[in-house]
Amino acid sequence: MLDGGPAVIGAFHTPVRRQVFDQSLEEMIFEAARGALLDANLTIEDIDAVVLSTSDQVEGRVIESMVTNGAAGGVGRDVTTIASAGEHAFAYACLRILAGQARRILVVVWSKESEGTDPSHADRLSAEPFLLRPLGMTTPAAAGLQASAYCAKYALDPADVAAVRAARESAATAAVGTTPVSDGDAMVAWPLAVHDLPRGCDLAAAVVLAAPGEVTNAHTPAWVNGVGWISSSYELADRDLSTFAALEEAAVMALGDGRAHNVDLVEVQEISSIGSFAACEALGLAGPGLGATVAARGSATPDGAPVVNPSGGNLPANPGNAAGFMRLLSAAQQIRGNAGAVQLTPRPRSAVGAALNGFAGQSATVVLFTSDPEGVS
Amino acid sequence: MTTTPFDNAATSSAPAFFEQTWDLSYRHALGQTVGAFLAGLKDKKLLGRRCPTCERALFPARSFCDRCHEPTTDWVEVGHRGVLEMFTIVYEAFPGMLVDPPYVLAYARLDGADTAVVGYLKGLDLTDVTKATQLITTGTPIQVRFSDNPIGQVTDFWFELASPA
Amino acid sequence: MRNVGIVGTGQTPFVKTRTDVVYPELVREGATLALADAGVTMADIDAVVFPLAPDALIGVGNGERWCVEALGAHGKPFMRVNTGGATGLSAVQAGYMHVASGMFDVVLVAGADRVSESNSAQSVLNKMWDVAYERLYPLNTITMLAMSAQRYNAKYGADERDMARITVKNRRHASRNPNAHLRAEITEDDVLATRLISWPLKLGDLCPSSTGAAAVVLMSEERAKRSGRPVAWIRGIGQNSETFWMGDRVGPRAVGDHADAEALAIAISRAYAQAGITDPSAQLDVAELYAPFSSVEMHVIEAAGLCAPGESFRRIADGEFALGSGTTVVNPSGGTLCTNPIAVTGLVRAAEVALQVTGRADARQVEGANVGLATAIGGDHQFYASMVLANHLEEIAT
Repeated sequence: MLDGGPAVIGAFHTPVRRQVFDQSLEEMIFEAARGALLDANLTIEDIDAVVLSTSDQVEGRVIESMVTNGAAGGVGRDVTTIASAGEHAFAYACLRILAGQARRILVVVWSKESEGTDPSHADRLSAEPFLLRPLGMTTPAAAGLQASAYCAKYALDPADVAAVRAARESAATAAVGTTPVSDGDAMVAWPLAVHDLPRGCDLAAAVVLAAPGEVTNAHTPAWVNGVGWISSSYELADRDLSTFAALEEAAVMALGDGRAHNVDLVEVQEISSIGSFAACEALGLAGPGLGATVAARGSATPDGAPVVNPSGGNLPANPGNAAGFMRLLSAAQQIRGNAGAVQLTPRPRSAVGAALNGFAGQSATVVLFTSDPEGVS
Repeated sequence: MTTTPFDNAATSSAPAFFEQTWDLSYRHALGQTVGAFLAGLKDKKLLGRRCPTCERALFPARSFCDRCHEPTTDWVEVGHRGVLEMFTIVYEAFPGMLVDPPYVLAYARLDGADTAVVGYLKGLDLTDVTKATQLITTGTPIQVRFSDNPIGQVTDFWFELASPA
Repeated sequence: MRNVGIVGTGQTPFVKTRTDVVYPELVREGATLALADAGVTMADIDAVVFPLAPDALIGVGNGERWCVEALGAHGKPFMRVNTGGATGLSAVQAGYMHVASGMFDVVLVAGADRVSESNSAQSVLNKMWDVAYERLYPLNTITMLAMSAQRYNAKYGADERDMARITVKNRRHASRNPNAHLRAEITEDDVLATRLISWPLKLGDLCPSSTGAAAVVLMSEERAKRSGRPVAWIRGIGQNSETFWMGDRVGPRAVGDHADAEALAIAISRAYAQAGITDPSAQLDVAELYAPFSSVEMHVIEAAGLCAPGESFRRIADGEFALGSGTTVVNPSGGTLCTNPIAVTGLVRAAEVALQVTGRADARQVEGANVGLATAIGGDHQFYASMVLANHLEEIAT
């Protein structure tokens, strides 16, 4: 889809931890930036532009790029902050390379909600002040509305929901190598309980994107063969919440036919356990109401259909503004053979990373990665 | 359903404002380097860190050098004397900032440090700005004064003129 | 690489307060003006870029999401740029990338700000500084730039009267700009008599907190030429950033001095290199240089290469850089000093240069302007953006 598109040649994220108290935010960002450069076999001197994404209220830093810029390697370089989402920073870096306006870009994204004494407070402020905020609209509430809309339209088997939770938890346990905490089944926003919603974590992540001419034999690239990002309306009532229209449209932009069914794996952001079904449907993995048939599919896919969230996705490990970016990173790492304990074998040749952002997935980003610069054969 | 045109006159008594307050609170993780710096203040020690690449002594202490993008390595204790690098004398009260004007806000570079640190310059008569600004400029020698009971925060110390006016 | 042009611009009048619209409605006003100017409708827009600096000033976290419908961006690619005070120009640059990438032909960059809606702007802006080392001090954009001014004046021998002349020049320019916020002309003595805020800065040296909206429409070369409208071509872009630590910008080991804007000079040199600008004084007719305070204009004129370091205030005293001077005119709109709607201030710089090089700047028109420079600054004098615009795609004559 993309002629002359870039490749991910380096990637790194700090360990998934619920709360990081022994490092400052800036130190986590520094670790991530250095890790990605090391992975790309480059130094900061090789980088000609830095793209960041920030979330001021979560970490309590106004114009957060100021104090984080040096940690991310920005000093003396062209730095742009794309504040709408970490995955948008990735998309913007792709645009710059396609525009011929950078050869090697370091993209750095993070979330450290443990900086706030009440992480949900910043979330409450992201509702517009006149109507939604007084009503208490939050990310979990919006996810509840989405899930209830889905349940109202399609008959839902609680066993399918439990299967998604179990699949994600099991994969994440393998990825991180620790026993997950128990979230419990207290109701948050019907029909979603605590264990149906993404579990926050602190994390910084970075990738190095390079123009085709900068990719050498020393690299194992994940080629960006398609990228799409779309926003839908802010007003929830203007959307059919039983599906993710933005994700459907972003998939069309990135994949042409809008269907991720012929890639090896999909890493997709999930706003809830139930939300995973509509996300799979929006990516063309299953028909309307049939997402449950594919969402919990593990590495054994007899029909060769894509594995969904082999990393466990963001339900067990959701680093706020970096959660969507992590889906892209995780998809790229599978192509690069760097997915660690959750690496699929044989090494995948094509992967889709998909991110959601805003209340009930207001916006979505889809990236197609391939091991072959020419794309999916 | 009926519709009516927008009537400006009908909105003359409508509310124009909606009051909101953000009251976010944070517990920022300091990291070991900043933590050690603040602990040093309790002992009236001023600690910096040296970058192994550019060899600058970065003060106050930082765990990495943003210019070289390298971790710093060694601790450096800097002196309690130095020079004024830049300053302003503030006569306006800024809402939400709990300090009463007038005051001198300054950056001073201390002996052994390659970078400057922010602090108050105290001990100057600020009633006449012209007179006050004739006494200090970039390069004026200063000394550090510590509070008698430092509590481990940056306001434990401040600057005074090395040679009182 | 594809050429990209600014085909439409829109600005509302900038004022202190607007109580007749909520924020997305204000955003829409700027977009509507730019679309009309470009002769297109929202349906013609392929993607939207939204500039917004701190969320806290409009009081909504990720306020961009709230504005999607107002910009007709539902169903379209949409992203937000935030590089502090440089946001507006970084956003135009991001729009340029959208088109130059080949993925989009017509891109809208539109935003708004209402700085006066928060009565704690300087308190909010204190939270920009380092958690442990700096926030206990009353650092904010005013004290930060007051120290830069003090250092510049000490380094080069400028004084408060030199700063006052810049306010006088820009207010005179702003009096010709119907969109400017502070439009009343003022004398040097008037400026010098204003209240002392943070020495050497007085009220008369400072920008206002402005409310208003602005937008530009960018098009690929083919679409721009097909539009039949006057086009301001983006000939060069350049960004750069420097250390966050102001204390690292002093002393013998400093790379850039807090008195100067050396990192801006590097950003501008990147744009000049792309545009083929080798002699800015000769090649640039106009420059809209982001300078929120009078003192800042001194070192940004120097960073643009329009004179040597430490020389700008003497040249201004000689009447240079003003409308009608015959030199490169700096801030014919009145500049940021007279109008500062933070999110779109940098965008307005590009829009004003676009109006100038297409001969549509009305009473503030620089006669015969063909080539211009726009710049912006964000963070604590940390993020720098620049853009060269021209009314042609030929080599820029020296």
